Amino acid sequence: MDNPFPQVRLCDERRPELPSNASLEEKIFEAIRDIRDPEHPYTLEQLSVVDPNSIVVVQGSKGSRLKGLVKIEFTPTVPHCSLASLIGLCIVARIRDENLLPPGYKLDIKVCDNTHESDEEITKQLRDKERVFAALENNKLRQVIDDCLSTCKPLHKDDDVAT
Amino acid sequence: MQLLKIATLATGRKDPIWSISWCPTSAVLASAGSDCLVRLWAPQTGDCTQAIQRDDERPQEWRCLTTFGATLFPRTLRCVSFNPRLPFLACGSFDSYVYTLRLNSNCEEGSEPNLQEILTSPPKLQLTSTLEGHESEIKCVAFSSSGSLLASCSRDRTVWLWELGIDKDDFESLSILEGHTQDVKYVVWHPCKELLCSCSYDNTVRMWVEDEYDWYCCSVLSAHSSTVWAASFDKLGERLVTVSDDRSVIFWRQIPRRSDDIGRDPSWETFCVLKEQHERAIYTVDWSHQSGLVVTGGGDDALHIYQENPLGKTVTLDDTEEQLASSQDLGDDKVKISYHTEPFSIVATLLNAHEGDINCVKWNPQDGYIFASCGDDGLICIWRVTMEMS
Repeated sequence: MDNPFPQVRLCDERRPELPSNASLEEKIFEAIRDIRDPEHPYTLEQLSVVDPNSIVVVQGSKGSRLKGLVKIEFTPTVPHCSLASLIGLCIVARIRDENLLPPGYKLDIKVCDNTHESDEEITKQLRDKERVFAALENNKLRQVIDDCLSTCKPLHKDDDVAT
Repeated sequence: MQLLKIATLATGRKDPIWSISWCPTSAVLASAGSDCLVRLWAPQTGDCTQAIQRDDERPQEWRCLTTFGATLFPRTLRCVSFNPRLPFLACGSFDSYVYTLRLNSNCEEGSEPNLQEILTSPPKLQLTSTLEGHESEIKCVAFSSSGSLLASCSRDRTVWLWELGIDKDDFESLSILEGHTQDVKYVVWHPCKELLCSCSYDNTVRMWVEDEYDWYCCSVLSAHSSTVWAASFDKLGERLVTVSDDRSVIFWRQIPRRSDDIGRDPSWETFCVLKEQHERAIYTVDWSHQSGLVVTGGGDDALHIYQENPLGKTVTLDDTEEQLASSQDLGDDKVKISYHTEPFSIVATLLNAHEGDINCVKWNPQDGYIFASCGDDGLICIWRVTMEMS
């Protein structure tokens, strides 16, 4: 284990559901905060791998061809964390599974600068759409990812009928 | 120039389409993607053994001639490529295998039918061989111009060469090319020689040739600062264009040999570096051997067309002296500025060409003003480049 005694932040387990008019940043944070760390029984939020400020959404800006860009930065718990790419893949998988990107939006995921000894290398891997696609299609890897996603709470959908 | 969409081919699924390949002699297009299927497409009306009508700018209906591979391929088919001479295709999969598929006519038995005959009736695909060797995902497969050599590349950092067997049904492993330090993303053959070009996640491009049955790397091209996704030779194979995650389009040429260089392999130099072209990674490029136009597609969902500028278009001050003199005081010194135009420049741009990353573009082999593109939106589009200004 790379980091046997991680710092754990207390998080409110019984938080209210997101309002339906929540921003895209809030929706994405809600979707990824409960992903379980691959080697600890804590969530990415509890381990401060992600926080609400990790997510920046740039709506189609002047001079840009893109309709929108979602940028997510995450901070591995220790600079030598060998599972940093796996954490990144879990975040991508969660966003894809929940179909959280509006049409035409792109996703950029990166390791926060200077928080990992090979941050640029991992960021390059996560930017490589082909590698990410192949990884998410790999059954064995997908099982590990699904295990990390199993702690995620079902997301409130705008079109859900209130019961 | 302007881009006109003449057809949209829909698989009916949202899975990304990664690769397309034109039949070398007719208006038939093969596609492969994450639905793990190979499809053949052709215009709905008219004879698909003919080239696409050159001046016809009306939208066309295309149909799927055949779908192949249900339950056969377990993983994404990353690439598909027609053999330039013989009626079969190769495809490479994330499951690490290269598959070769024969095109069979539905009505003929026995004799070796040629491609034209096959395509006059609905063709049928048949798996003829599964090439095992790579350790991880195949990224690209490519046939040499003679059709007898097949190159495949993989995340395992190697390029494998396969040679067509005598019975023309199977390929045998010929050589393993090692040198790249990361995934090999793309392979493409010289248009007439047995010279192979490979592109990699290690940011380099390598050229490979054979010397007495021994294949070796004869040149390493380093100018990109991130993954090189694709490359394409010009008609004569003297120049090459490469595209990259670094968003640049780079043109290379062989350094002319001096007399004392005989026997040495030619090396390559850049002669046109166009930076910050697309807004995201550039995944695909193709250089038409008919029109000389270059098309690129990228993660910004856009298509670009590049054209070579007429030779010697170097504007010097002398040419513009009159205009300048009238607007500025040049003083006594003869100002020596030359306004050099890049050898290639962009002549058409189409934003939102697909609703998602563009993974592959390919010029029609007969008509250098028609190309196809495919993307993460699960669509294939056929485009015509027209000369009218918009």
